[in-house]
Amino acid sequence: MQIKELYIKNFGKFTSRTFSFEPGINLIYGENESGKTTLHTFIKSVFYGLKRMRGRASGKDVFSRYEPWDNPGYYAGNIRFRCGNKVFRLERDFRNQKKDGELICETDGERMSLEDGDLDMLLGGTGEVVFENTVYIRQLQSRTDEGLAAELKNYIANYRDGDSSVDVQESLQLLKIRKKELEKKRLEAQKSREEQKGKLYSRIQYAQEEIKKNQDEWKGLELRCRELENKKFRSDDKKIADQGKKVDEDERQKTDPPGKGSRKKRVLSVLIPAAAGAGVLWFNFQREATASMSLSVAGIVLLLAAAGILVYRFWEKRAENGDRKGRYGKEKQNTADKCDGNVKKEEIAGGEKEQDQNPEYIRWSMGRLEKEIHEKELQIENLREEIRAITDGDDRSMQKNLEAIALAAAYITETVKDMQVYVGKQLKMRTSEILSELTEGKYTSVELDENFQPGVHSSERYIPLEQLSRGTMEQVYFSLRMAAGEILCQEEDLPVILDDVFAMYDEERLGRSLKWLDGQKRQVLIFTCHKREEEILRKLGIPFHRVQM
Amino acid sequence: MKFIHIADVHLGAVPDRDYPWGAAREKEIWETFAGIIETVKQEKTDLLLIAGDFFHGQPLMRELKETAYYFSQIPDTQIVLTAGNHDHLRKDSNYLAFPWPENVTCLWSDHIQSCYLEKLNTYVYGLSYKERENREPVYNQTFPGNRINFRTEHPDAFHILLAHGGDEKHIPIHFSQLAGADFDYIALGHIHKPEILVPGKMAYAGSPEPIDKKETGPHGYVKGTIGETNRSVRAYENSIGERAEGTWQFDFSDYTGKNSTEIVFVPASKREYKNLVLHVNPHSTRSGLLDQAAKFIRENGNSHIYRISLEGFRDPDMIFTNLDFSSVGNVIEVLDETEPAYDLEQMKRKYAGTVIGGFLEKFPLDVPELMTEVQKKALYYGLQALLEAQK
Repeated sequence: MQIKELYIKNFGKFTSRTFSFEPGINLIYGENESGKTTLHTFIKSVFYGLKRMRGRASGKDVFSRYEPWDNPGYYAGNIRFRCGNKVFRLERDFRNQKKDGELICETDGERMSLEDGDLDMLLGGTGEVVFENTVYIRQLQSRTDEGLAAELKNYIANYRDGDSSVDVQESLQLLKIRKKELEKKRLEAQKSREEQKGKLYSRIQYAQEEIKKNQDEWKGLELRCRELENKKFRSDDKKIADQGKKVDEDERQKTDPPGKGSRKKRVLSVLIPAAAGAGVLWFNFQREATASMSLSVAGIVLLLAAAGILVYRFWEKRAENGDRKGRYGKEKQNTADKCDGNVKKEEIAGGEKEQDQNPEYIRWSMGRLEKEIHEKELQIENLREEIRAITDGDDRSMQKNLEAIALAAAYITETVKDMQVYVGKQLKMRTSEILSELTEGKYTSVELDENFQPGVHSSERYIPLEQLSRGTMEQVYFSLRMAAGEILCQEEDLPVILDDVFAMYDEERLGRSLKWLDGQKRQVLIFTCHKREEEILRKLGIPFHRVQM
Repeated sequence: MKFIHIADVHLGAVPDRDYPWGAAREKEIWETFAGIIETVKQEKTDLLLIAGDFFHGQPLMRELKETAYYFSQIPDTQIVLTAGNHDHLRKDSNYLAFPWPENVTCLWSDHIQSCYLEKLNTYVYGLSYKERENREPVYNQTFPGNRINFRTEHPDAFHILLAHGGDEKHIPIHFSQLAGADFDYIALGHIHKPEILVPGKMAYAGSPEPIDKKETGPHGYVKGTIGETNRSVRAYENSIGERAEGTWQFDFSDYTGKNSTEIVFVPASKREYKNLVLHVNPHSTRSGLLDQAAKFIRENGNSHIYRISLEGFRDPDMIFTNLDFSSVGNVIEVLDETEPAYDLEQMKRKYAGTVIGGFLEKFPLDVPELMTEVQKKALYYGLQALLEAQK
């Protein structure tokens, strides 16, 4: 593809200017600030359109920068170019929102369609960014040798990644930062959940401590009860002691294993009257008593029998009582009973006692404590259930985001590798070829060592970049750019724009470069503010077309 | 007969505990319950049905005493209560020993039991949970054709079922079959969102106050009446069915029950959880969105609790993920589902042959429906990083 003509209706400082170009080398001569940058920005803008940026970029974007100084109503221009054996005209009106451009084939009058990608085809599928980075070549910025080497190295390093428009390492770094942000958020959410659980746990702990206190209190009360009961046995008051002994004895008997002790008594209660009765009868028998005496003897026997029965029944009932009492197994009940007995004792003793001497009150307190303990246990159960309910939820979307970041990083790395493999080999090869030509065989190839650090091979040895002269470094850069340009837009030979690239070249190098450029098929637009290029072109007899800015 | 059906009151719960409105919510649950009791009193409702999860956890004595006080304020109303999975009957549950007022009947068995309310000539069937979970579909016993002890001593009585459950771990229910059972009304509990499953027949009352942010929409109770039509017809069918056991299939195509039952949902909650969708476009700004949200909240009620989601295509430079809406209202959740407004086709063209172009090639941009959510997110994450790393 070759650019035939630029018509700038209104763009930056230019109004209604036409620039014509020829195939081969075009030398565009203009002082500094004459608009070289504007011109090649124009070329790119016509080819790729110019969208107004929104938001943060809107003040500084290209659209604003080149809005015409005069007559801002118009912001437009066109390019006529040859592609194959046809000539095309591409018109742009940068202000027109709806239809900002038109492509017409002048050769056969056909109106073509930008939307359908006709222009893309003519450009050989070269995208805007590649165009910008390969077609348009600036000189290296650094003025110092070290800076130059560093810049060149950086450039090559970026080419390792396939193209120099994006600092891939930085993009991966940015992804890492996003990942860290998300992970931090996740940790924070987790921490807040743990805090919530912690608060509930401490409430449980508090409740457990309360329970322990209650249990201790309960044990204390129980002890108190027993104490009060023991006090009875040591009492000095005789009456009470007597009563006490009697009651105690009752109690001891009551709590004796049912039936065992009293059986003895029951047996005795039968035997004794029986023995007495037998004795009397025998006595009677021996004496040969009178009838009245026999009668009274019989009466005595009967009385004894009745008494025996009564006593027997008495002891039997006692045994039953003992049974019943024995059945109340619980210690509590015994304690309570003892306390009950004590109540009677106290009543017998007379006078009111304080509450903590009052076993009924103590028993009531203990019951109340039991209820409190139960309530606290239920509360603890409810708190545990709440803790269980604090789920690790809502993490799914976080998880998806983290997965997505990992995927993005993987895709970027993959893309880079693919490009590397493809581009890297070819780039090295072609750069070496060009460099070799430019240096007339002095340097045969460009090499990248295992750390992708560049150096060149001469016929004899390998020289790392830093050891090269400035001029050679410029040549390496030039070869690299030209090679990259060829590789990255392979389908169509696009023109190449060199913006003051040769300023630091010495005459010999300049000559060789210009000769090499002449040998290329591509159209070349050399922007310069020096006379040297012109002189050397004439000297070497290289045909060129001169354009005055 | 007039009845009110409530369930899942969750007395004692503290929803959104760590949010500014959390403390108020605990009180509001009690207040709304008190309000329902007041309504029962005013409207002279005959029967109050409580279908489980009355309390949020094991009921404490002091809590039971409070509710007993409320129940004693409506002595002319019969109240029937069952325990759900949250307030399930442990062996030491305070429910069991509590001295309920006379008008309260509790169905504590874990098998379907029934009680007869003489004043209302009504049988109420139900069961309580003894454990936190129950995976047996116990209510299947009530389906037509299955044996269930339908009480028949009073042939023209009403039959009401209290059923707490309806998911896998809490008595799974086959709803269409249950709807065919010969109850005049089936009072469901466990699902917190109210829903009338079969008009006049079966409904989830839902919790009177929403407990969790997912429970959006109105909350309250179900109010109903059971009429007295067609009872003779029904009795006749009943007696036929009994005589020839197992050979009769009752026709339940008329799902509204042989007695005419009418129910209506009555909203009663002090607050609702509401969804707020903010539509984002490339001109949206953070302050703009905050204002939009503030306006919506003002118009829809400051006391409600909002779940905000952001949708649409935003300017790629804008970030809305950490936007803080707490100043404009009670906001419990903010979801950012916006996507950056990239013209991907154009970008693919512009960046062809570069890393960005190659990266975009990895995604099926012409068939975006095929992309998974993770892929879409990866696209935007990667693109943003690459664009930012441009030189």
